[in-house]
Amino acid sequence: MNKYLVFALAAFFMVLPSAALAGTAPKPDSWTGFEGRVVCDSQVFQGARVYVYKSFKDMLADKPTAVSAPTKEDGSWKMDCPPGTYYLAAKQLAKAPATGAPAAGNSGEVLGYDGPLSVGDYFCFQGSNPITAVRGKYTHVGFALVKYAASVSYSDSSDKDNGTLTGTVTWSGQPLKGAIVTLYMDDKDNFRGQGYSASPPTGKDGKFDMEFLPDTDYFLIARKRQNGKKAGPLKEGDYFGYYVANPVHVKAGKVATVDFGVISKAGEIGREDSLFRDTGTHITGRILDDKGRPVKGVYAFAYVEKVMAHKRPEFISRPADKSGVYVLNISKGGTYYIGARSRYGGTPSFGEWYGCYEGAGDHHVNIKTGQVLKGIDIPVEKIPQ
Amino acid sequence: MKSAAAAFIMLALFAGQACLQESAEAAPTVYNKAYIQHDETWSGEIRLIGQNVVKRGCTLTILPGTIIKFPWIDEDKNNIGDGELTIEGRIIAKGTKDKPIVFTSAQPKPKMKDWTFVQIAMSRNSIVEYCKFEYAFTGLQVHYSTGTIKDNLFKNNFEGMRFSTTDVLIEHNDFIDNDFGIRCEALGSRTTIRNNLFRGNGQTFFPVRNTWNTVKIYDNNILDSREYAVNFGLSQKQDIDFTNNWWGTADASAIEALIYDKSKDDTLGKADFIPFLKEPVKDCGIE
Repeated sequence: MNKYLVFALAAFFMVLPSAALAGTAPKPDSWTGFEGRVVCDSQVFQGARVYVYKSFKDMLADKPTAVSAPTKEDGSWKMDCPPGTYYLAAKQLAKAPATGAPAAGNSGEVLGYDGPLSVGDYFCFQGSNPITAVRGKYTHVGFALVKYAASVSYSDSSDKDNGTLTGTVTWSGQPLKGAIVTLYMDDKDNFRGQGYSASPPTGKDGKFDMEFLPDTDYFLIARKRQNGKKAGPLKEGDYFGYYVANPVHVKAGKVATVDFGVISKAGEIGREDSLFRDTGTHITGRILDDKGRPVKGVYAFAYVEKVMAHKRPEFISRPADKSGVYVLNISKGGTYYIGARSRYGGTPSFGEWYGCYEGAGDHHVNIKTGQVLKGIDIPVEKIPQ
Repeated sequence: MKSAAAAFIMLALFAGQACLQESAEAAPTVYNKAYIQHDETWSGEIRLIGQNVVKRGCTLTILPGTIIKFPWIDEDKNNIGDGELTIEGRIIAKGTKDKPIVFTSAQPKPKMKDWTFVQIAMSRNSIVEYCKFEYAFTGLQVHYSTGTIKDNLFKNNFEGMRFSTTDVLIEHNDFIDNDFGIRCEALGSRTTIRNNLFRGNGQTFFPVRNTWNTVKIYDNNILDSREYAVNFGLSQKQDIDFTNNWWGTADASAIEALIYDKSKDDTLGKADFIPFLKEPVKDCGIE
């Protein structure tokens, strides 16, 4: 059933040439800075900014040393930074603060504002902070945004001497079972180690409770390791969360309740974006024009629903190479609806390459987990006018 | 005697064959989730079950008087019939005034949303003339295509038409008693909408978002909208030119009351309707 703008609406992206944040482009041997991609719920996120701070204290004070330009259609960003060690965060602030000085980029150009988060904003603290910018390269940093869904709420507690912290850990809007919330008093250990206190693993409702807490501020970090262990470095597939409104003031005689969204950890610094990581389940083929010639730079996409509309595709490829070859990394087996287009975001435009897999009338393929499905060629045409 | 018997047998055979031909002509041709991968010409009665697709590069020609019916199935349980015809190649559906082509429900008591839509996608120079679309979710959707939509009747559909990035001419059609007359997300479409009759639609024009002034809408009679003649979607931030249409009144304030745009929500674009026509357009609707 397709009551949709069938081919419409969803979106596809074009990786635009990366641009230096500001000022003149540095010489290759002096490249220093960061680059990466911002996603939210496994979809690329346009319009966020990456904020670079000299210290965690500066981060808490919303005093960045540099701010990126808004992320592009494909969620990508890139910025120059002198060599050094920094704290990085990505944000999308719905409203620029009414007051306060603009944050300045490394050229001194006004590039964006920083300020406290409001409910509805998006935020990601990079779990690998602090991160070092090394001369001669752009260090890759990925971000997965979490929406600031609700501010901390307080209710009366029967324990007048201590504070209580409770809440729900969620991932992609669903309760996350088995997550451990750790409280830190400060950033001294970069939020690693045992911290001040840790909750038992959350139940299937994602809820946690921590009682008998002194009245003070805490930094909340949530982790879930797939191997079930309570310590050790996070790996692919584990979950991580830095509470968006850290620090949380736990008050004596009150129950502080938080809505704690976390992300799935998908790659360390310098590794591939989560969108393009090798899952072992691939759909691959060539993108071809009406004469069978390869079309370079077009992106393949996969939907899990036949209705290819109203939302972004579940999976996207990197741009097809000069032979028109694309590779779609799929998280698991199933039925997927396959197409390709030039850009990511918005309704396709005149002159844009667009097409769907034609091995089936509804453009679907079936794939099993771990399978590599080859020969899924996608014919494309330019949208006529 | 032998010759008489032979003549009888011949007559019987001929009569039998004629009878078979007659019954064959009367039986509808059924397509069940078909993927049509060659040129076809349709006539008589056609029944389309589920999603049926005409492949890119193929042309579907529909002759005058053809009736296309969509039997009710609803596999995804959304209370919208699954019947659908998608043309990714080209469609030439040219009825006549006396023998229109009809796209309709196969239900004994048809109702709105009994089937999904006829959809034209990535098509060049498709032609839809003297067709009747009724009881659909959307009578006709056009995306990423060029063509002509002329002298058609869109009646009792949830949406009469919907289009996105297209370059089509929509003229001399009747849009009657649909919940939405035309819904669009037009981007830079150079679609022209002129000399159409709109009557009794819930919301006659519903630009959802990203419809720009490249769409030309003029010389239409826009009458008796049940809610709004123009209703901007929440993301329709651009202004749209609606000048030189007849709105059923020559009172500017009465026309403004029919339009939901910046005048009622400051975040929306503006529907420019001044100057407006002071009397009905004479050659509107099906010719």
